[in-house]
Amino acid sequence: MIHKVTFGACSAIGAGLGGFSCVFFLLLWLDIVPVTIFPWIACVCSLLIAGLAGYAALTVLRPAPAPKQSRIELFVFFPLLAYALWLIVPHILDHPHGDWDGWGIWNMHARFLLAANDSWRDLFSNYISWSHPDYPLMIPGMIAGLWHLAGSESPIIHQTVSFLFGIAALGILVSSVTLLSDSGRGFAAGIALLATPSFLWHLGYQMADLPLAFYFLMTLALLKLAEKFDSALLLGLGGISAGFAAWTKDEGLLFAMVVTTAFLSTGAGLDRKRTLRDALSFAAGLVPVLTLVLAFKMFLTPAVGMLTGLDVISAKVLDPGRYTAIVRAYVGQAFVFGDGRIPVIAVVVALAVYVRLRSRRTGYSLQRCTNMTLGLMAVGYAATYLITPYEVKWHLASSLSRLVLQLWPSILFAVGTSRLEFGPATHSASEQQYWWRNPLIGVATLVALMATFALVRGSLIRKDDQGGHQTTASGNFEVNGLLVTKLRSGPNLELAHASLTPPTGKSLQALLISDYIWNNILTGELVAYASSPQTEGVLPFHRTSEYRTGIAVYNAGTRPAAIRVEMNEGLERPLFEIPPNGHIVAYADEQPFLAGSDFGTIRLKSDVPVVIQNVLNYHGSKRNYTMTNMPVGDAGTLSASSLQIPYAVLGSAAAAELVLVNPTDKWLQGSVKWYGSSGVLLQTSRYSIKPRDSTLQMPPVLTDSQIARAALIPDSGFSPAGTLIFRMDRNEVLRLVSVPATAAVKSLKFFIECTNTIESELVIANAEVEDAIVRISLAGVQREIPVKPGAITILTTEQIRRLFNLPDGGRAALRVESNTPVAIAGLRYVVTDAGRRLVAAYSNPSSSGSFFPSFALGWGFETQFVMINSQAPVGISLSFFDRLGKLLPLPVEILP
Amino acid sequence: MLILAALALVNLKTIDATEWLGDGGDIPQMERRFKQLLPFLPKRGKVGYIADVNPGSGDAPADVIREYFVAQYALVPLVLVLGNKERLLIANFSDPTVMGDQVADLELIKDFGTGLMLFRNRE
Repeated sequence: MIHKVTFGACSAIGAGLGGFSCVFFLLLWLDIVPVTIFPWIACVCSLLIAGLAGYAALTVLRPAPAPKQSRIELFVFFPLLAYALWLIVPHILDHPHGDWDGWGIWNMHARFLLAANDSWRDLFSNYISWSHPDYPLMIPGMIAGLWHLAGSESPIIHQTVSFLFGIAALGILVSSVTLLSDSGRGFAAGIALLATPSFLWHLGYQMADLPLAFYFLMTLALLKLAEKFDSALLLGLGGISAGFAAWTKDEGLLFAMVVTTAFLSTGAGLDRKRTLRDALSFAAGLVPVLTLVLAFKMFLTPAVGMLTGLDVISAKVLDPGRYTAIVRAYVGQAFVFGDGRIPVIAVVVALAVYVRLRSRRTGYSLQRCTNMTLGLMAVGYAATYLITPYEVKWHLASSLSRLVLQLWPSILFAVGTSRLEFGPATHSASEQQYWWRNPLIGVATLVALMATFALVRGSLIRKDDQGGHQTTASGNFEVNGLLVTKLRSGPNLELAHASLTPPTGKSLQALLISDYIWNNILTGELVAYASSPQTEGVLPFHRTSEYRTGIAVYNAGTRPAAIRVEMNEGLERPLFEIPPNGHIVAYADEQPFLAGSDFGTIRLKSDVPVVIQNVLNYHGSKRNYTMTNMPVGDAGTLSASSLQIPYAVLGSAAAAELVLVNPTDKWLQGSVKWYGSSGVLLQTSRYSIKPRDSTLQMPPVLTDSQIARAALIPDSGFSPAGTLIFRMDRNEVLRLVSVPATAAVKSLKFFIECTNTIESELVIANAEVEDAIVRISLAGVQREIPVKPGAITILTTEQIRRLFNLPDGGRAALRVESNTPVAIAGLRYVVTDAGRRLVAAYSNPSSSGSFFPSFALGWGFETQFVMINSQAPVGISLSFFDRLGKLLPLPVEILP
Repeated sequence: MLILAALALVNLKTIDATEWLGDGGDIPQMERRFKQLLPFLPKRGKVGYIADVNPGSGDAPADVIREYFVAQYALVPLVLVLGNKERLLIANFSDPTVMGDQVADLELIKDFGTGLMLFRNRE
C-alpha cells in the first residue's frame, strides 16, 4: 500500500506541477483571462491532473504478486536517505539561487514571465540571447505561477521545486520498481541513486536536468506499469509525462519522439486491437502538451540553435575522430559520472548482481520499451555531438555528465526491473523469430517524426526568409545569381569569423561589406573578398597616434596552429597558438605581434594553414573612425604577369600611397606605371623589394585632382602583392579607401549596389593596346561599353540605373565580358543629406577563398555578406564563430 | 545490498568533504547592489550597460561577464543592452578610473558607490 501511495503522490507532484506550468503559460500567452485570475485557473487544472495521477495510482495499481518485503533494505535505505539530506540540505539553503543555469536561465526566465503587461515577451530579445530564450518554459512557468500565487518572488519556491523533483524521482524509482517486482529491488535501486552525489547536488542547482530526469523516469515507469496492469489510464498519464519532458528541455523533445517510437514498435506484433487502444491512450496524453511545445518553438522562440549545412554535417559524420571522441567520452562517463569516490559503473554492477540474485524468472518482453528508449536516447545524444557546431571535445566535456544525469534514474529503473516477465504481454515464438522487426519499425518511426518536425520548422523559417527577415544562426542558402545577407547587429561588440561551405571557386565568389556607423552616418566601410589559407604571410603595418593596423589570423585547420612572428629588427617573439577553428584579432603593436616601430613588415609563419587579414584603422575621434584593407603577401598566390590598379585619385583631392609586398625569398624588382584616365602615361617609377618585406611607392605629384590607374610590371618573376591606399579629407572628416592590385580578366560577375543610402559606380580599366568592347548584362539586358586602349571608363550610378533594370533592392551582380582583358573596380558612395562621398572601393578578385578571418558586429559595426554565383544554383552554408571556434548564433537577414 | 549501501556511504562522504560545486553563493548580495538602481529606472524597456571591459567582447574576464549576467537577472524585465547607445546607462566599474571615453558624453544621474553609476546619454 505504501508504495502505491508513494507512487501516486510522486506522480501527482510531477503531473500537477507540469500541468500548472503548461496552463499558466498558455493563459499568459493567449492573454484572454485577467492576470489576477489565471494563476488560480492553472492551480485548479494542476490539482485535477495531480488528482488524476493519484487516482490512477490508487485504483489501478495492485501489489505485485507475492511481494517480498525486505526489512534489511528498509533499514538501510532510510538512514542513508536521512544522511544524504543532512549533508545536502545546508548547501541548498546557503545557495538560494542555485547554480549558474538555475539563476541565469530558468529563474531569470521565470522573472520575465512574472513581469506585468506584455513585458514577458522581452525574454525573447536578441540582446539576451546568451540566456537561451529558445528553451522551453516548464520550470520558468511553474516558478512564475507559484510566485504569482504566493505574492512574492521568494527563493524558497524555486528551491522547493528543484528539491521536490529530486525527491519525487527517488520516490518514483523505489515505488515503481517495487510495484513491478519487490521492495528489495526497489530500495536497492533507490540506494544506487543515493550513491550518486551529482544527483544530490542537483537538488539544489535549480537546473532543468533533474526535472527532466524525473519526467523520463515517470514516463517509463508508467508505461511499464500500464503494461503490467493493462491500464489505458496509466498509458495516458505516460503520454502526458512524455509531453512534460518535451516542455522541460530540448532533450525532452527527443525523448518524446524516442519513447513514442519505442512504445509503438515494441507493441507491434501483439494483439492489434490492444495495440491501437494503447497507442490512442498514449497519444491522448502526449499530443496536447506536445502541441504547446511545438507552437512555442515555432511561433515564439528566436531561430537560434545548432543548425548547419548538410555538407558540413556530412563531413562531420564521415570524420572518424569525432566517433572516437564520443565513444571515449561515453566510456569515460562510466568512471567519472556522479562526482563520487566510487565510479557509478561499480554501483550499477552491484545493483545488477543484486537483481540477478533475487531473480526467479527470466524473460525479456517487458524490458524492450525501456531499453529501446534508453538506447535510442544514447544514440540521439551521440548523433547530436557528432554534428555539433561546437568543438566536439569541449561540448562533450561541458554537457555529457548532465545528459547522463537526465537518464540516470531511468537507467537504474531499467536495471532494477530487468529479468522480469509477466502476464499476457509475452510475445509468441514467431514474434521472437522476427526480433529485428520492431527495432526497425522504431528507428523508421523516429526518423519520420524527426523529419516531419524538421520540415515543419524549415517551412516556417523559409516563410520568414521570403519576408526578408530572420533565417538561422548558420545560414543555409541557395545561391542563384546573387544573394546578399545582412547580420543583425546586436548590442555586443562581436569579433567573429565566418566560413562558407562548400568552398568558393571560380563560379562562386563571396564578399564581405563591413560598415561602421556613428549617429546613423556611415563613416567607414571595408569591402573584402573571402580569403584562402596560407602558411606564411607578409604584412605591412602602420602604427601612429591615429593609424593602427589590425591583424586577424584564423586557424582553418583541425589542430592548433603554432605561429611565429618575425620582424625586421630581428627580435624573437614567443610562438603563439590558435585553437582549431579559432581566431585572434589584435593591433600590430599589441600582443602577440608587438611591433615596435611606426612602419614596418610583420612576417607570420604557421605550422598549419591559417587565413590572414590586414586592416588599416584610422581613429580620428569617435565620430571619425574608418578602416580599409592592407595587403597580405602570400607567395602561393602571386602572379607572374603584370597587375592593374584600375582606379586612383591623385592630386590635391587625396593623399595616396602604393603599398607593395614581396612574400617570396628573392628580391622583386619592376616598375610602376601611372596613367591618366585617357591612357596618358603620367609617371614611371621603379620598385625593388627585399625578400619577405614591403615598401611604399608614391604616385605622381599633380597640382589638380585627377582620376588615374596604375600598372605593376615585374622585370622578371612575380609581381608583388599591392594595394593603393588613398586618404581624402573633407570637412575634417577623413576617409580611407584602398584599391587592391588585380589581374585583368575577360569575364566575371561583379557586385554593385544602388540603394537610397549607397550608390555604386563601375570602373573599367583597359591596359591593353587595342580597344576593349565590354559587354555588361543583367537580367536579359545587355549593353556594350567601349574602352579605349590604356584608358578608364566609369559607369556612373545614373548610367547604371538607366542602362539596366536593377531589381527592387537595388543590388545586382553584373555579368562583364570583354574581348580583351580588363581590370574592374567598384566604387561605393554613401549618400547623406550633405551629399555623397566615396567610402570604399574593390577590384575584381584575383583569387577566391572561403573564409573571412574577422569581422565586427555591434557598437556601430554592421556586416553584410554577398555571394555571387555564375553557374547553376548551389546550396551553401555560412557559419559564424567566435575566437575559440564556438558557433555564434547570429541572426541573418536576407536583403532583397 | 550491504555492498550497495557501503558504496553509497563512501560516495555520500564526498559531499561531506566538498564545498558547493555550483555557482551562485554571492548572488543575493550582488542582486541587492544592482537593485539599488530600480527606483531610477523605467519599469520595462532597454537600458545600456557598460563595464571595465565590454562583457560581450571575447576578452572580457569571467567576473565581468558574470556581473553583467547578475545585473540582468536582478533587473528583469528590463533588458540590458551592452554599449553606450541607450538613453539610460548603467556603469559598473571595478576601477572607475578606466571609464574614460566610455562616459565622456554622458551625464551622471547618480553614483551608488562601489563603482556602480547611472548615466544619461546627452544625445
